[in-house]
Amino acid sequence: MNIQFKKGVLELCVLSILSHRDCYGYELVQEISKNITISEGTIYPLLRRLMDDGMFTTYLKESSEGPPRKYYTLTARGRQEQAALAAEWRRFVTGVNLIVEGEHGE
Amino acid sequence: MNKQTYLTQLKSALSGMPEAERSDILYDYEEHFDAALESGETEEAILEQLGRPEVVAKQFRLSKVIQRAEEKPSSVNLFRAVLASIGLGLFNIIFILGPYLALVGILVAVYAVAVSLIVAGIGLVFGGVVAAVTGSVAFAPALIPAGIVGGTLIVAILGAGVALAALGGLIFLAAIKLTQLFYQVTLKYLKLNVKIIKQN
Repeated sequence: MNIQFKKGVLELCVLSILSHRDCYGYELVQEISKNITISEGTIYPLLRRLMDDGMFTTYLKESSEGPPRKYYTLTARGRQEQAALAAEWRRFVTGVNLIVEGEHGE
Repeated sequence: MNKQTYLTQLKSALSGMPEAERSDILYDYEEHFDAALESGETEEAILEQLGRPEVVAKQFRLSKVIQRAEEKPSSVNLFRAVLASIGLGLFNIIFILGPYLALVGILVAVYAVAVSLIVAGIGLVFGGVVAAVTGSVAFAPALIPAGIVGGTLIVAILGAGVALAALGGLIFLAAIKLTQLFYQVTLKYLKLNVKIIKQN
């Protein structure tokens, strides 16, 4: 898949996963990798950018073993953004599907 | 490479960033390593998935400068952002293209020198033969110094012609070798670029 395209979609994926529950970095990576092949190193720069944009905040939580983990939690703004991106994505997919299936009103 | 060397390399690749931010980023990667190891991944697999530390550092820098360009629009900030984006993929092409074209120019010049030497040598030999047949050196009267006459001059001209042509030929062969080397280095370089870009 086109790399740039994937990067844009990745943002939606991160926000969507976090809209269901708070996650720490590796968890997010795992959730996304289940369905999409990604270069895992690219997630962290993205997380930082989204955090700087005020999409989520972080808090530390003890883990059963090892040091505490950094959890990401969506802000109100992050939820809005997720809803907006998801709506945009659905419109886009619907449009592409119509074209691919050849039902674009010929 | 292992976890420690990866983190050390990442740290140095992030130098120049505010210290708080840098340690924050390193914390994230260390946490990622620990969590992945805990879930049973091997160190090699984790390293491969993360991508090279320099590339990771470039991505952090890129989002940083883009952000700055968005917050404080100015030609300088925009220029920095463009440079940083080029840095992730096209930097090499832009900054290598100039010297690269210069090298191509030099190679062409070497070929030109070789060909002109060969042509000049052949011309001299031809002239010498003409001189021998007609008994005159009308094509270059200036070449007749006092004391050198007839056969000696013709032999000198022929000798110089052969020598020039031979020198041109040698340079031509060297240029071919250089071209082959140039070609290989170019290919290697392109492959390297592809590797870097793929890791993004």
